[in-house]
Amino acid sequence: MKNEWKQFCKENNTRQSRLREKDQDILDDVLSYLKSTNRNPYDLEVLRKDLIGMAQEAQNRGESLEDVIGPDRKEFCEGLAETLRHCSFRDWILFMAPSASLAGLVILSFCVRPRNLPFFIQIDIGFLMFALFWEIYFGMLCWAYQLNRFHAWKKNPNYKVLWLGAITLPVAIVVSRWISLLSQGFIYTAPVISVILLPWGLYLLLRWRRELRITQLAQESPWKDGAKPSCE
Amino acid sequence: MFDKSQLLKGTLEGCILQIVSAETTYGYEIVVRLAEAGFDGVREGTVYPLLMRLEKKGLLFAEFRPSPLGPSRKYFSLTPEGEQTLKEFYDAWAEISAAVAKVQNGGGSQ
Repeated sequence: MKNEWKQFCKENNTRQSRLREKDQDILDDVLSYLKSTNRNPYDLEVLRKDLIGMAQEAQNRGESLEDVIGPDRKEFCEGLAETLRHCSFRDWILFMAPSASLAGLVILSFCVRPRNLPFFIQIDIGFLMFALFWEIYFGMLCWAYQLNRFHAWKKNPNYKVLWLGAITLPVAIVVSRWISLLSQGFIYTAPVISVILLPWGLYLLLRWRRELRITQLAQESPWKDGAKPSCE
Repeated sequence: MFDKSQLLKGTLEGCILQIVSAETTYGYEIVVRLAEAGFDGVREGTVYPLLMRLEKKGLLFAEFRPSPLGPSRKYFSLTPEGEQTLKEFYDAWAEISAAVAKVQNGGGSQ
């Protein structure tokens, strides 16, 4: 099963990396702002493709992306946000869950303990809960960073995320320690085949659903009645 | 001092529809045509959200085509609804500009 979504994002990443650094920063700022308005991830990637093309053409003309967008970046972003579809909870899960489940699989692999019984393995639940907590914590910090990134281009950048990280880190350390102590020594014995098949099966299922949803989003007209050009 | 940005907002969409009605074209070319017509200071950053809004309303049709300069470009063409809207824009423009001319000739400090 081809991962077209990943391929699409990778192509955008490659093309964006060829832009000037300043243009890349501006593009990241614009996308961060739009992400904070809860827009559909598919629409955001299509928009990113458009904006990268705009930046590349500007570069060929000897202009910067800032020249093209103009001084009021916020107005530009708000104009774009009106035209993009909102991200439903289902779409949020479909786009985020495959990567999160893959990270969970990696964490699970570190929680496996050797056992003498054939066809069975042991999973250290304490360590698993500890590692999952930190995955969620850092995921939320990255999300908070993205939401605040837009403000960093101003002369007074917003250091809210740094303070957020500094204040919540001690709390996170205490909570994670408490979680690992509570579930310490709790070992779950499971058949090897279920430990391998179930998570991978879940990951592949989520990826397949995501590809179906992307096909649906691409086919759904972003406007009311599926307009066709008058020349046809 | 008079702020003409509001006036610009009301007329730019109609002007874009007119430019696209002449031929299928892309964002930067539309900016160049607007500048040639006298719309100084209009950038691609102003035009692009308008193009997306018009596309979303079904007045423009967009497709990617290979570009001689590298990345594929989004080209816009007018839909039947866009043609109708353009006609309505010119009707409204004629009505409003006639009313403004009447007010200008009939009253005020001049």
